[in-house]
Amino acid sequence: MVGFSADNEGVGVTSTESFDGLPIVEIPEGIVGFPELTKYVLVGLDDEGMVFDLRSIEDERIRFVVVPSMRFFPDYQPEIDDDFAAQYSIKDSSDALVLLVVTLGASMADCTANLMAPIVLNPHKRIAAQIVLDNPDFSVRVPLSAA
Amino acid sequence: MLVLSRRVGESLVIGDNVVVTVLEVRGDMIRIGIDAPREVKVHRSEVFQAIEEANKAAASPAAQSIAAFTSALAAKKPAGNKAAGTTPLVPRPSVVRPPAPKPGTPPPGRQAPPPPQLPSKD
Repeated sequence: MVGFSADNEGVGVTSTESFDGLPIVEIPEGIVGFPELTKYVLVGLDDEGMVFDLRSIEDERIRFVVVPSMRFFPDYQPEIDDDFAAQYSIKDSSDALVLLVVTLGASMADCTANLMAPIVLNPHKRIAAQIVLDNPDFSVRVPLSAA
Repeated sequence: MLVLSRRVGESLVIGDNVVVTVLEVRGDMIRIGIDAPREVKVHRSEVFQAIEEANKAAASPAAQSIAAFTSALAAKKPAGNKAAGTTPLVPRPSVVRPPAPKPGTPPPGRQAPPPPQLPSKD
């Protein structure tokens, strides 16, 4: 299991706790449907940094397989508003990692990614949120196999 | 459900600090403005429900499915993508575009959100 590490820098909210040696990612507003869970760890599942497990440390049953959007949807550019950028200390694109929640299926052809509500993570501050894009062009279940 | 009637321009206050205003009525469509603190999330119901459902379906996948997914991905990786010897723990940043800084003070609350500007899909 590999976690990820990042430097603490700047001011503002930074998650400095760790769990089992892995840095904790704070999701202050929770994942939609799981509002009470705010502390997760991001665990790499492969050597390439292409698949992660976003695991709740407050409820061990809750874990999401996430993939960085760049790998599958390189043109996907969710726009964030001022409030979000301020709250999550995002000044430029290196402050934001876009992760997509994957719903796994029986085979790769059945696996889908949620493009309507990406998880935007600031890897330096280790804080994240799931943002809801109210855009009908983006589906909640986009097949990965097409990417 | 509490049912109230409002005319265009009239408002409701929810709790202490959420204000809902009827901005415009056009045919069978109503434009609604919402002033709420940042921490109060406001979404179209069907969108919120769809996301909640998708998240719940995605949470707690079986270990087998995860293993199968990970190896399928490894098998599929595009040729030439992997730089020799580097194993990025944090993949190169994706392209979230923060908004350009705006002059003047930010509005005190949110209006009905304008459609997000996303690349047009032509």
